[in-house]
Amino acid sequence: MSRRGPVAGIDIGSRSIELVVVEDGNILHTAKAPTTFAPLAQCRRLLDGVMAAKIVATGYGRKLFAETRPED
Amino acid sequence: MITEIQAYALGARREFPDVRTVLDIGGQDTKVISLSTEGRVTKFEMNDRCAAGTGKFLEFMATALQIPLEAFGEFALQADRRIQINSMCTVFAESEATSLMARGEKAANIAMGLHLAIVQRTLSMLRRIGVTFPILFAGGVAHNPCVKVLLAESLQEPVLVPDDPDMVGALGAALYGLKTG
Repeated sequence: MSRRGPVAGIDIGSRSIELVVVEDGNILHTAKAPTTFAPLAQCRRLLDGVMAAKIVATGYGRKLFAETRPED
Repeated sequence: MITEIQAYALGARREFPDVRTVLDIGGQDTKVISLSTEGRVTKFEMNDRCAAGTGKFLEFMATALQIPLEAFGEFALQADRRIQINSMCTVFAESEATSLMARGEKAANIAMGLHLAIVQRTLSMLRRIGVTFPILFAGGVAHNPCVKVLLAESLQEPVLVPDDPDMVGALGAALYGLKTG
């Protein structure tokens, strides 16, 4: 039961943030940025222009991120 | 939103479908995860309370020895003898390294000692959860060839490192999104 459209995974660690976009099991895009003291701004920068039907957050900063995107 | 443990389990199985143990050494934490043959998390342990045994430890020590972090593993592999660094603590290990320098020990040997210290710490975490092979090594520290070599040597088994070891958690999170629809 696979969802249609790309899905993004974002791993917000204490030192770096990684982004992977997958669709139908294929990796479409990957990106990485340092966490810095403004992790949400870094997440926004990584996600800028990324088309994703859904974003799943993980890592140390996942709760912070999820609070800003209650729909995911 | 999923925990790092679930994310790493999913990402690791995508990289190597038979993986039974996942080791992640990140910039500021270390986690070890045991998986069943079906890929279910059966046990895990996480150290996120202390820099010792994490990437931060290596970064701190590379800076102290004035070696670029990316080259630190290769540098340590040039060691001609293995010295033991007794302090596990990042702060005390640095003073120990400094006094070894003052006694004329080669920097590469000190670097090797510091790598051995991080591997020892990792091995005790792995022993606590029990290692089943194959084992996958992820996180930024998986780029370090010395840590990989020492782990494989101590475990007497190959250590699998994905092409992009930093991405395992993000990949797992995305795969979870696909699965849950």
